Amino acid sequence: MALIEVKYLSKYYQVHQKEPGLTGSIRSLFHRKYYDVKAVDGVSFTIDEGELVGFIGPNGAGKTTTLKTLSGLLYPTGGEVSVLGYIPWKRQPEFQKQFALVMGQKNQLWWDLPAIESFILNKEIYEVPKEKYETTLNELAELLDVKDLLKVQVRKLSLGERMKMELIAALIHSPKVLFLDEPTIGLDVVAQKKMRDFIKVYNQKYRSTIILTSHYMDDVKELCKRVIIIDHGKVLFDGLLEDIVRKYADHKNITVILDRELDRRQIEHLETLGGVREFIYPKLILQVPRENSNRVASKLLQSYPVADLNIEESEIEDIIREVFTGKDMA
Amino acid sequence: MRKYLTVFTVSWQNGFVYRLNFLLWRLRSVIVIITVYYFWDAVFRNGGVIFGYTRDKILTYVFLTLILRSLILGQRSMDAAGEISDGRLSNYLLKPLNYHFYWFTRDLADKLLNMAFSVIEIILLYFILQPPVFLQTNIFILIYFLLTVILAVILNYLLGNASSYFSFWTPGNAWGFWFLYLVFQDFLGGVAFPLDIFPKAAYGLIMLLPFPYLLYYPANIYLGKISGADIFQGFIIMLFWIGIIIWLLRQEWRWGLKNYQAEGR
Ligand SMILES: Nc1ncnc2c1ncn2[C@@H]1O[C@H](COP(=O)(O)OP(=O)(O)OP(=O)(O)O)[C@@H](O)[C@H]1O
Ligand SMILES: [Mg+2]
Repeated sequence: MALIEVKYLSKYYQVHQKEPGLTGSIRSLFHRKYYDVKAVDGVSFTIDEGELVGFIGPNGAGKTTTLKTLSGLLYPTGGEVSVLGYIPWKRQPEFQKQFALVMGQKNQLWWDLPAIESFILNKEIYEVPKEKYETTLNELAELLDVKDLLKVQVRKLSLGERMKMELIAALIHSPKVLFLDEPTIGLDVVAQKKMRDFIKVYNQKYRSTIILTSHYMDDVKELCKRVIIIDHGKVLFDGLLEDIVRKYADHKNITVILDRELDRRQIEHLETLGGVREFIYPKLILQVPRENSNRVASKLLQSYPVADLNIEESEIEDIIREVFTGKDMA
Repeated sequence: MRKYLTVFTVSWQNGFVYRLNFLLWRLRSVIVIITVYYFWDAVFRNGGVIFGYTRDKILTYVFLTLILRSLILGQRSMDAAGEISDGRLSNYLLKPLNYHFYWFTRDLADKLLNMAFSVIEIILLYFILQPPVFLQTNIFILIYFLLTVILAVILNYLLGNASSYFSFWTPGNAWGFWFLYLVFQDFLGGVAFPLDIFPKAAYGLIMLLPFPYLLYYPANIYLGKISGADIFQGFIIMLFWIGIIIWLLRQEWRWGLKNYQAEGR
């Protein structure tokens, strides 16, 4: 059964154009020019129960806007959305009790009080029974390793600790559907890893359905079987991460550390060997078709001042970047 | 509803974090009462009647309105304007929680806390200043007075939020509407001076607006200065405005949410 269904969803923001300067300000008081920002433009997908889907795309792609619409914060400009059988922007309490939206840079906790007070308030707001609340809180605090911090004023917590508390506050009502918008932003590598592990466990243990956005490909690689790639408000790819890797992994990267600067002729000749991904002396990265990689490597060793040479599979980052830059998906 | 009870207690706890702020705030209100009191006392030093008020009458009015003011006009829900402007409103929209009740509860928590302190202050001030306060003894008037105070609390909340909700259309500028509302409170609500010093015709018109019912009307009910058909007329006008503004708020909320862009996050 599809838990989340999105059909031709679009959301245009109406923005008024202000000309620069004071005269521009005054003029725009009387005469406003409006234009539409097509943040989401005809997006469709369905997600089944228990899936953990990565929703990725460059800055301004429309990810947050989509999640806000799925959460009922925004009314769409067009299209249909159904989450758990509800229309989100009707904001019915029965629906609200079954999902949560967590945004990396945002806080819902009471800043001046210990986090536990916010949890208690949420328990009442979501009408969670006492025993259920206590077991959930215990489990979450255990998993996230913040048992000792529950009674510390939120303003005194570190960013990472606060993020964990935010997560607990959002999960205290055991939502079936979870929208995570950049939950790892600003965290250090260790904390990111912990957050990832938590998300994985949460998804498996509670069979919750999760949409995750992140700019860290490690998050996506480790957590998501399926990814939806979006840019300029349109879906570019929707499928298994391994498919996209296979499709694009017909290339390998050859990384070379040079002994000395190349001459003009050598530089020009590089183009015939493969695509230059990066060239900042002494490092050179070439992208070459898989079957040519050995031949190109030996050529490099013969006629270039090579100190070190490595052949690697394309990084997921590179693959995603290629999708973004519009290499055709056929 | 239990969730609003918890909002109430959390709100209090939050208030206690700023104990010093709170105490200074109370101190301020005491100083204001004493200053205003002595101001009018000095104006009437040589006796006489100004705008139909004798010294005793004006001092009673001043003392009473200053007390009622912290109960009726004290309001935190102006924060709602900020929450709408900067997108914090999203936090509430995600939850099964009624935003209007939420802020009303927080306002009530605030008022009751202030009230508790007011009572102590009033008793102290009463013995220090020995004002010629008129004690109403008619039980019916007292009951009706209580009712008008409750209605005034509601009316003020509604008017304040109606101002805040303009933030949906002019994020960041809602303070302007709030300011305007505060000016109306001061000059048409009876905060700065009793309204019957206005000429008769103007007074009649002003009494058709919602503002006099915030403070002036309940105060004068207590003082027994309004009687007979005027009591009834005032009651109807008050209910009328409460109805109108509830309707207006609903429209604002409904259309505002369509306009809301959940910005900033
Ligand atoms: N309230 C708003 N008013 C006008 N334009 C907006 C508003 N919110 C977002 N936009 C625009 O809509 C587009 C999509 O924004 P959105 O926040 O959904 O992107 P995103 O994919 O989440 O990006 P990021 O990775 O940077 O978070 C952007 O071009 C943005 O400038
Ligand atoms: Mg975003």
